[in-house]
Amino acid sequence: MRSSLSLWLFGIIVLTILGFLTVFRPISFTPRKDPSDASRYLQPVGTGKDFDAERPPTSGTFAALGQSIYVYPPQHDLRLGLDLRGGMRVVLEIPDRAVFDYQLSKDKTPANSVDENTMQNALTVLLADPKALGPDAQDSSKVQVRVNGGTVEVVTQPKNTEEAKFQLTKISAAMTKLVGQNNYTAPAADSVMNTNTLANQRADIQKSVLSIMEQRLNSTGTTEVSAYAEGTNRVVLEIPGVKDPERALGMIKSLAQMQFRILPDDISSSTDPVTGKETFSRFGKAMTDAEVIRDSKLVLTGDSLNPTSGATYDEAHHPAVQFSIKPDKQSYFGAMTQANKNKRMAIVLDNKVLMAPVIQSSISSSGIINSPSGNFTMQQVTDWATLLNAGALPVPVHIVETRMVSATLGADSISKSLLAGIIGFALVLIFMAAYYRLPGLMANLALVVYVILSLAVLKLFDATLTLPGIAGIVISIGMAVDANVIIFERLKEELLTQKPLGTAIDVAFQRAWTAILDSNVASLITGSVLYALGTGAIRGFAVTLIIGVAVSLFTAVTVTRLFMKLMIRTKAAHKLAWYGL
Amino acid sequence: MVDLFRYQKWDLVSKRGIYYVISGLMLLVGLFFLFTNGLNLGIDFKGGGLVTYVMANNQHIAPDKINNAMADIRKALDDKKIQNEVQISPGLDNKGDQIIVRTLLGEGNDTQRTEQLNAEIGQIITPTVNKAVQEYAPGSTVPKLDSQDVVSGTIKDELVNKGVFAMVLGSILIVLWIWVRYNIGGLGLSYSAAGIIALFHDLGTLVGMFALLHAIVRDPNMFQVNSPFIAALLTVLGYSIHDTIVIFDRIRENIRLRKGRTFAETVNISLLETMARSVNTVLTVLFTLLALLFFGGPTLRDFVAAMLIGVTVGGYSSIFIASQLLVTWAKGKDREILPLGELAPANAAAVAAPRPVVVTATGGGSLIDNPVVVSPTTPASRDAIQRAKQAGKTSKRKR
Repeated sequence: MRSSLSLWLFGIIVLTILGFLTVFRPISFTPRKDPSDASRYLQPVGTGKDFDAERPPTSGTFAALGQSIYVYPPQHDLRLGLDLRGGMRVVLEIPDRAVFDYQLSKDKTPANSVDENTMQNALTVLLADPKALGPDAQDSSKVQVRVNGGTVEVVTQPKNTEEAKFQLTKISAAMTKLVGQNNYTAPAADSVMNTNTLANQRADIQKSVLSIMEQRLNSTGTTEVSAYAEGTNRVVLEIPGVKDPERALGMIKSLAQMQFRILPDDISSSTDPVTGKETFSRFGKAMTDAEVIRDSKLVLTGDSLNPTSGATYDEAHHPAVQFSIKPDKQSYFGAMTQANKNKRMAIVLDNKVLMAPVIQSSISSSGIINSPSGNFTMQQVTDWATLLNAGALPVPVHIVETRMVSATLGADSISKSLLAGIIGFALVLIFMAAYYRLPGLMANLALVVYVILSLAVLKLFDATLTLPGIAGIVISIGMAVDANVIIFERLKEELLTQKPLGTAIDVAFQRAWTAILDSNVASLITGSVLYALGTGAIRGFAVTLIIGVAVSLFTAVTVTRLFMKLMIRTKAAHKLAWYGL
Repeated sequence: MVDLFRYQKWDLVSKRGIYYVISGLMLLVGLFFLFTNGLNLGIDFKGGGLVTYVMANNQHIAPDKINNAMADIRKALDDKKIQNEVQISPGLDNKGDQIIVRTLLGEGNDTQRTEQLNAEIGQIITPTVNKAVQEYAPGSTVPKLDSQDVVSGTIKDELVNKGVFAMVLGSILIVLWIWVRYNIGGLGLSYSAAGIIALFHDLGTLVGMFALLHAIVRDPNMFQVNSPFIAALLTVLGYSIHDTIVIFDRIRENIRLRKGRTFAETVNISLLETMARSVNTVLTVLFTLLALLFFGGPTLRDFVAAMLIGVTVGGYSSIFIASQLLVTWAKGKDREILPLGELAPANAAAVAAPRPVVVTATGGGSLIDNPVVVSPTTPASRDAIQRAKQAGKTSKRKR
């Protein structure tokens, strides 16, 4: 019996030390990257690299023993949620899209030799009216029309198949008017928004949106942006350390559709010398961006650019965007710019005209986009370059939820809840020692082991610690003690009957075990329900609650019992007064 | 330290009508406020935007000007057709004042409204707040954006559905658990039913209390009901059932061991025996919750308040509702309720001998080796223990 007790004690001590090491990780076998050195490791925008793992950190190493063991001051290694780190959480909903693909017949007859540009404009105008999209559609801003070669592609986001079919009839009617009934093939009504293709489409679009968002946000220099898919049509972005929520949201919302369009001669532009804003007018009448776009001719879209755009400075040392054109479009664009020299080329991003400079010479492989009055900021051009490189979104996304907590509020929450936790813990320790005396002390020791083991389990499961999670740990401390309270009350009763101390302890633990187990099942039930149905922060609470219950079943019973059995081997422990009687 | 409760001559059972009335009243008052004033639903369940700004350390708006500042901000936002609620809380310790602006989801296309809400924050709300701060606390630095939440109608509906579903599912599972544990154990309907009624009592009282407190304290930032409230509710349910199970277990055990007492007596004894444990458990959880309430940050305050109320009510309901219901529903000869200490005449013959009171004055050694056998509930036994202790002590000295 003796040796098995010592073995148990040894086991508990080893477990506790391992738990401490897991949570605080003071020892590591590779030099640790120190986040505070991040600025030294970040590479310039556009190269896609951040930490340089080859350069060892110069700070943070406490001592290097030999060549292969690094010792750091103990610092917890738990993954913190955004409400503790500070940052922004954005949930995007991806609407379903319907793609209407019309093929124009190959024979050119007078009826169907309508100019592509005219066709594009006619369809755009038609679909700009919400009534064309559906009987109760309200938003028409996200329709995309593309006419290229012999195909017409219209992309909309109908609410359901009825609306999609409605749109199909409207678009087909417009096509008939434009090129004549027999000169095009319409897509089959069922294929436009088929539930089967929809399911596949959703997955693909979700993946595409995910990767685009990751690229957009990672390039802004923030570390550890995490993007993950949720359900079939949602993407969740977690951006720690956001300093400017507006900018981040702008990067997320943007469709990043870039177009180069050639303006007809009768549109003139003037630049306000004060604001630097360019405005367009025709015959003295001011024009909106939408009108300018409608009347101009599309020559190149963003997907014809290499994903290597970057921020740079123009000759006047103002920030500008540098772009380069893909090889297969270079000759076309070169010819276009050559033929349209001295005309204005409007550069449009997300249906807003950025600027419309005069084409000075032919551009075939690369160029820069700069503001005529030099009033683009470095941040703006960097963001535009990033958006271009990441690519245009296949569908416009809806932002359905944003939560942002500043880093100071996060740090504040951590320190305050830590303080509360320590005070609560201390109060419980004092109470247990005062009321239950010797067993209480044993329970307190077990409680310390409990806290360390709980945190270690949290770390092992790579669970995220949130603010409600910390509250969960603190509350679990109060609840973990309950098992001990049950046992010790039972112990008192057993001592009042005919049992010697050792047996009394055994019987008390035994009899109390069923009550403890059953009552903790209820907490496990509610914890599981909360985990299944809760969102981020609440899930953190559920996780700590469940882990707390599970670990407390171990420490409150096994560990306390071990300590008590060890204690009673000493004579001093046999005074009844020590047991609260 | 002596167990304060075990040997008391309290009768916790016969006056149970009073407990029912008190609980009933609390429930009625709570439900009244719930249906008239309603709960203070937060953005999780109503949608909209919530923005908090905090002024730099030690910077404050003069206390008498706070209302003016709030009115100014409200008016400026109203002019821009933004439905809003503005609250300015003076900062504690060395923290600056806190300005909280809440915008409502309103009517219209959900996607557009959400985009608008997001845009409004940077374009309209922040400049308005900055302007007001400059006006009423001249020379102070620009307040910092501490937190910003926008919840669209889609997400709000989801959260409401999930919240309700969680409550319903959690309650059903716990009810099932009670049923399985007590019904199948062959003890009958009354235990399960009592546990279930206590559960709904706790649910109703917690929700009602929040409605009541919101009606009394009109501050829109206190006693808000968000997702953490649902978490608190479920945790409290689990905790209360835990409590009830411990007491019911003791009642079961005492029915087996203490034949010849009326049911009411048995319940009373069980309550007294478990009272120490119940009180201590509630105390330890209260310690941690109170520490969180006073020293934890403002973000969790509503959650902790809900837990505090819930844990107290949960403890109360296990003792004063669930157990009492068992007595109310007791059948047959158990219905007779007698004062403590007396046995029902019909049972006198069938009384099993209570455990004997044997006091041994031992010549040496401690009480552990030569225990005293007592029946724990009679006052005589207390004296017996004392005497044995003395004997033990003196014998030790002799050595």
